[in-house]
Amino acid sequence: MLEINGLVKHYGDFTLNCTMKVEPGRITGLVGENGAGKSTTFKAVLGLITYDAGDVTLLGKAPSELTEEEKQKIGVTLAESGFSGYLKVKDVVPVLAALYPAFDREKFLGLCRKFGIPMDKYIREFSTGMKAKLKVLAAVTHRAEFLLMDEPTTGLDVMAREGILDLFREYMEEDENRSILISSHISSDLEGLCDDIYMIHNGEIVFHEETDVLLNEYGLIKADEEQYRNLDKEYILRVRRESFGYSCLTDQKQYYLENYPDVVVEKGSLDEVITMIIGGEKL
Amino acid sequence: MKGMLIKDFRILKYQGKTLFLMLLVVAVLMNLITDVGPTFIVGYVTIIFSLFTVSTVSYDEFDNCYLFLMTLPVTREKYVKEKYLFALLSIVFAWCAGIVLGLILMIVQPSGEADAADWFGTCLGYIFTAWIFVSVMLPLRLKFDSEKARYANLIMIAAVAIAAFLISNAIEYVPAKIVEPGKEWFSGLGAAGILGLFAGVTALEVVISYLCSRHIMAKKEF
Repeated sequence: MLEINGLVKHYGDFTLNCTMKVEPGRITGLVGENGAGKSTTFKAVLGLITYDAGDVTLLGKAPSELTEEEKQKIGVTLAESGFSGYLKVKDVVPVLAALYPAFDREKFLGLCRKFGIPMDKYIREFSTGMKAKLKVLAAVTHRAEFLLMDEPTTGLDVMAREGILDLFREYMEEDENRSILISSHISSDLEGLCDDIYMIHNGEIVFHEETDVLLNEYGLIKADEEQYRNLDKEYILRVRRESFGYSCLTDQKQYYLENYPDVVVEKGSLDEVITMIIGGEKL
Repeated sequence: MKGMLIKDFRILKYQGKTLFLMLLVVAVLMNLITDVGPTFIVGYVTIIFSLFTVSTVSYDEFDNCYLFLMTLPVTREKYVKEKYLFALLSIVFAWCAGIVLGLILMIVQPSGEADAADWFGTCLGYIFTAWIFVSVMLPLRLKFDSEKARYANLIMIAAVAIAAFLISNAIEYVPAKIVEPGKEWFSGLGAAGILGLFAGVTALEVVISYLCSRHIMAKKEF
C-alpha cells in the first residue's frame, strides 16, 4: 500500500529521515510527540510537499503522479486541516458525492446522526471534536482502499474516540485488503487498534514493532543497584537511572521473569516503550 | 472538478449573496442620487463582483483547509482550471444581473442612453475588463498569501498605470509615418472590430494567466 524508503526532508534545523511500510490488510501506527515529524511524513506521502531525497510509493506510484481515480481510493484526515469553515455539512455532501463515485451518502448521513454532527451549521462553529469526527466520517464513507489518518482522535472525548476507533475496525472488516496508517500521540488508541507501530522522534524512526510482540514480550525491569549489577544485559534495550536504581526496557520479558524471580518485571506498554526509547540510554 | 465547483458555488451562496445584494442596492442608489447611467452600473456590478471570485482562494486558505483540499481527488491542474471556470461563470452571472438592472433602469428612465447595440457593446467590454482583472489577480493570489497579494495587486496596478503613461508620452516621439497608419487602422476597425480586438486581448490574457497559475500551483508547497 505504502512504502517510504529513506525519505529526507529538511526544514531549517529540522530533518525528517523516514523509512517505513504499510502492508495490505494491516493497520500501522505512527506515534511520536508533537513536532516529531508525523505530519511532515503525511504531507510527503500525500504529495503536499517535495522532499530532498528518498522514495515514496503510494498505491504503486509516486504521490505526485497519482491520478484523480487513484486518489479516490484514499481517505485522508489531516491534523490541522479539513473542509472550509464557510461550508455546512449539507454542502459537503454534494461535494463528496461529486468527488467520489463510490460515496455512500446514506451511510455518511447515518453516521452524522449517530455522532451528533449537525447538518445546518457552519463548520467553523463546530467544536474541535465535531470537526475531527466529520473528517473521519468523510474518509470512511467512499470505499477507500487506504486510509491515512493524521491524529484523527485529537480533541475527542473517550466515548467519541472509541466510536471512531470502532469505525476503523468496521472499515477493516469490510475488506481484508484495506489498510490504515494512523498517527496519534494517544498511545492507548494505537495499542488497541494497530498491527504494528512505528515511533518517530526528532524526525527519525527510532522504533518499529508488532503490537502483539510489544505488549506480550516487552517488559520494564525495575532493579535496585545490586540486582542491576547481576542482571544479564544481553536483552536490555534501554536503561534509565531512577531513584530506586534502574529501569530497563527489554524485549525478552519472559527470560527475566524466569531467571530473575526477585526482580520486578512489569508488562510492556507503548507509553513505557516510548518513555524508555526516548529517555533511556543504550548499553 | 465538479466537486470543487459545487464547493465554490456554495461558498458564493453564503458569502457572496450579501455583497451581491449590496452592489445592486448601491448601484440603484447611485443611479437615483448621481447622474451615472445604466452602462456604468453594469460595469460597476460586474467588475466589483469579479473581485469576490478571486477571494474564494482565501476561503480555501481559511483554517489551513488548502492542505485537505489537495488530498481530495483533484489534481493541482484541475484546481486551477476550476478557479478560472468559476471566476468566468460568476462574472457572467454578475454581468447578466447588471444588464437586467441596467435595462430596468433604462425602461424606468427612458431618457437614458441611446443606441441599443452601442450600449450592449460597451457592456460587453465590461465583462472583458472583469476577466482581465481576474486574470491578473488570480495568479498573484495563488502565489502569495492574502496580505502579500494585496501589495502585489497595488504594485501591478501602479506598473500598468506607469506603463500606460510612458507609452502615451512616448508615442509623441514615434515618427508620424508609423503612428498615422496605426491610427487609421484602429479607427477603421469600427466598434465591432475594437470589441473583437478587446475580446482577443482578453482571451490571450486569460490563457497566459492560466498558464502562470498552473505553474505556480505545480510548484506550491503546502
